Amino acid sequence: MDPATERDLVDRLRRGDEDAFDSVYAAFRGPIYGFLARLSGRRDLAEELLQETFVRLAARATTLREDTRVGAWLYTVARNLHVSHARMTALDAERIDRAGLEDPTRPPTPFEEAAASETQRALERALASLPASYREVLLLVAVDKMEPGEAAQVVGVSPETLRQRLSRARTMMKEALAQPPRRHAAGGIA
Amino acid sequence: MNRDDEDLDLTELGSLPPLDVDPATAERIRLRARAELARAARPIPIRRALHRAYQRSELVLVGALAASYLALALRAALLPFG
Repeated sequence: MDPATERDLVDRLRRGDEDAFDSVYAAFRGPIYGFLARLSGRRDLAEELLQETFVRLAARATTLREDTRVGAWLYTVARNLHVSHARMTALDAERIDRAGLEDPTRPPTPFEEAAASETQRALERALASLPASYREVLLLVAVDKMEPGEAAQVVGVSPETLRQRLSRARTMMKEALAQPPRRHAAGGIA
Repeated sequence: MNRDDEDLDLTELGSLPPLDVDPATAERIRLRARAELARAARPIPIRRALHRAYQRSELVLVGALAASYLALALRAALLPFG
């Protein structure tokens, strides 16, 4: 979304304009859902957090600052909601990731099943195997094409930390992609 | 890892298919959020606005009363020396 359009939408959102809200929803619903779904590995949770993200935008629309970057704002809220959920359910994201890697009977995720090609399935698998802190930077920068500076704000780290994390995430992706695919209990490719 | 390898990874990740909720869920979420927007954008009723103004001014009023009492007490205490 170009900055002028974004400023106009924020301006209208601050006045409670419902059409502006619909425009923002139409533009960011898919990307935010995809981000949450790939971050959490669960469609139902992603839907729940997506709703909470947009309800929060609606509740705070009239108090947004004029210079708010609405895309970054939404990603930040979505990410924080995911982090809160992970903490609330006392599930360490890295432990989940390790469990996913070490369980040879793990069935394919819905995203792996939906992926059109074996290459995409392999990418989804490799992405899902990364610890959440590395997965989120790849999702923001590589999948959602966010500027690294903006992604650093979303994640709440310095640009330098983000750069290092991104570099490490790329290395981990390459390592994960180099591993042969594992088979799940039903005999299909996991 | 060289620069080409890094760029290749990002390009591949960018080719992942976009994900989205089904239309019924998308509409349900939209309506839920729109209801919240309407609630947030509604003008504040006069009684609630007055109550909020009172709450905000309460501390200032109490502070002003305390300061004036202190000034009077100080003046009374200094009067014999004046």
